[in-house]
Amino acid sequence: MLAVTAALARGVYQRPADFVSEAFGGAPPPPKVVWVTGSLRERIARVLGHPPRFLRVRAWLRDGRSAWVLEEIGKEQPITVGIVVDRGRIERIRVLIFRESRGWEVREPFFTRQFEGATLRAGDELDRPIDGISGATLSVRALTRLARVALLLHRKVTAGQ
Amino acid sequence: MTRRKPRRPPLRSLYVWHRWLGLTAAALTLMLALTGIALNHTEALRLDERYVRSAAVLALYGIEPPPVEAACRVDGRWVLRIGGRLYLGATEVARRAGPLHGALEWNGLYLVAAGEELLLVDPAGRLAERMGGEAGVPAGLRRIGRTPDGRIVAEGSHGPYVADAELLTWRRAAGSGTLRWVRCEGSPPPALADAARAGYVATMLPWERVLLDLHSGRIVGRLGPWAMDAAAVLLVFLSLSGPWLWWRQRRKRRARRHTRAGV
Repeated sequence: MLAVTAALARGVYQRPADFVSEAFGGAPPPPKVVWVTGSLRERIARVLGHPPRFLRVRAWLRDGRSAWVLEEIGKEQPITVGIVVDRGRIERIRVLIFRESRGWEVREPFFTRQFEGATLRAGDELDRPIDGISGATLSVRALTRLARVALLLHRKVTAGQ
Repeated sequence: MTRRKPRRPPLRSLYVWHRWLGLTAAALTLMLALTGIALNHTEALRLDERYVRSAAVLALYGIEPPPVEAACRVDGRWVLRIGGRLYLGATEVARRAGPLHGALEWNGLYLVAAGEELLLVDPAGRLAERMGGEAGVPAGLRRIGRTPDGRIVAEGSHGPYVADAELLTWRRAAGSGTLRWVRCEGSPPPALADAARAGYVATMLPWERVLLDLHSGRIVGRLGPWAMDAAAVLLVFLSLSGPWLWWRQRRKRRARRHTRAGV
């Protein structure tokens, strides 16, 4: 039974391209490249607790809104997460691809709704606590960190606007 | 005349059993307890991130460095695929990578075609970006190369596609006859291959695995779990025989005290 649940939990819930398209009403802007170097890299490393596993990341940006597709390892496998940031606040966060055998509950709306409207406060922390899910601690941690990374990246790409 | 061996009283006999079985179980119990404590704190001790380097322990698991599956020379460096992992020189770039199709230099970075993906790697061996079908990389990726004017081209199952200046979008390439494809040829220097293979082995066996196997007894093979089961049964026996001996001796002492008091 547990094995069946784990097998069902893994998978592609939404294709990253579909997430980005949906975020911009079916007409996404062309992607831009953000290089994760220098002080931005250091801040992201502090948020993640390790150096980021990427040096450049794609951003879809229009009218102060940005969409990101980021990955972070939960326990052993990367979790692919789509995040939309609107004027410095999380608009939505969604688990797109889940590869772990446990912790899939983080894809449920009761969990992801907690991030809506969240922004960064001092120390690159979220301005609100995120309630955990027992048995999904590492997945919760991965999503929370990615939300903070997306907010940092958003600040970077909108800094000149 | 034959001497009769005096019969040992039952209590004394149980005491002897308790003592010897206790000694027998001690070593295994110590192992269970210490590994159990460590496993309870796997995250804090980062047991799943630390790897065994001891040749003896690795040999116990039958772990040997896999061969170099493919190698591409690019700009004086070597890109290797070993055991499904990607290396730039002896530095691990990615834990999973498909079969190598080719590698070339791009704006001071290395672009590696592996499986269905293009991996962008910096000279220090850090992965800059992993691009697959979602990033527009042609499906059924077979090889990479350049157009005559130096742009990156990738051939998929539907033909060649040329990338924009930042490798963000791809469009069908015209005139495939003029495209220059790269090939993986030659063999890396043996010292480099050995260093990369040694690096691979050094990240194969996390300490968590070893402690789990010590805890369950599996580290010594099929009989190990039975030995640990036996230790557990011994512990059950000791936890019963100990209180029983204590209770019997306490009763005896009381009886002796009463007898003395009666005299």
